[in-house]
Amino acid sequence: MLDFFNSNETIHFIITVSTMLLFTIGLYGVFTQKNLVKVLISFDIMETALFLFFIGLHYDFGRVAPIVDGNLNTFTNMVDPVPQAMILTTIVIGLAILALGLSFGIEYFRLTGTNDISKMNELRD
Amino acid sequence: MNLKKEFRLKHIVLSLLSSALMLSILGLLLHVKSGLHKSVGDIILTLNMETATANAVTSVVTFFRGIDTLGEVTVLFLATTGIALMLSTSQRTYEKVVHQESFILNIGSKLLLNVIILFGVYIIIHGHLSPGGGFQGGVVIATAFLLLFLANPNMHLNHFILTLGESLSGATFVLVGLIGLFKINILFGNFLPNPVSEIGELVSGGIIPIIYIIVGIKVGSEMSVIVEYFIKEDNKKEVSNA
Repeated sequence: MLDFFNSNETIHFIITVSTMLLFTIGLYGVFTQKNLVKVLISFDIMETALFLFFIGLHYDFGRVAPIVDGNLNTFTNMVDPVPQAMILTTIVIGLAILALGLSFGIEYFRLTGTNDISKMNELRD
Repeated sequence: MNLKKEFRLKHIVLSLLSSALMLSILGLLLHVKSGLHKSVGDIILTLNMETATANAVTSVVTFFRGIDTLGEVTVLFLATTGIALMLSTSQRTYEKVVHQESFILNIGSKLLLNVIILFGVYIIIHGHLSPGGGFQGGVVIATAFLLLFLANPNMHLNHFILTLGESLSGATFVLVGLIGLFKINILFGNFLPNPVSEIGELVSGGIIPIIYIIVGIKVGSEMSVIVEYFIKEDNKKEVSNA
């Protein structure tokens, strides 16, 4: 019965739907939250959804991680290593951006005493 | 009440539709795979035996796309500089935080510190043999310092050593790339001997483990500095409230 899951199409469909739900959660947070820290964390959730989507769609059923060990002696029948390396880069940059944004938020809170994005109107005039 | 519900439903529908649109566009882009031509990953997998690295992802990160990793490390360095600039504008006077000494937390953090740092170093130096590498191991090392800060908020890191390690590792990274450029005419070229028969051993792969060790030192010191800045910020707020 579980052979149904042993196909590329099923796995890619599950990955697409679940990452779409995760992306929706992040986007909903960006739309509705008023706290600056919560908005930044919502952006991070959206990023995570994209990482999972990228890595997941490059998994083909029956292939293994691109690492040679005792049993495998050649680089055959392995998944594509390029998306994993690119997503590693993206994760580090996402972390840097999140930390920098949080430090901006802390500085803003220290200057104005509020963290509410609907009250940020310093540049209005 | 009804208006609020409708408003919330509007946001949910809007986010669902936008995420579906975005992921379908991305999915179309990712699914254009031609059966005739090989993808970049297949070519890299066939070339990968020459680098004598057991982990193909590591050889992509440090060798085939070494200049990307240089840019990535630069971005992390710039972010750390920005955080230091943002969180240290006012005169930083670290008042002593009055905290209750918890015996178990104090002793446990000191015991765990060595183990966590050893685990981080293990992840860094086995980056070319197993999943892991410089970035992951550096973040693991930074968690050890996070634990120390949680146990004792009055602790200080030695910024001289951290800055020295970060600058020296960054300079060495560029230097390794330039030596490759001058010696074998490829930026980040593998100028050290890397015989294929040694694949899977700890000393193998030429410059690839060296680059990952450099990246590990750099990321570990940068992450520790970021953790310290955020923790000290929290302390300061507590003191001013009291």
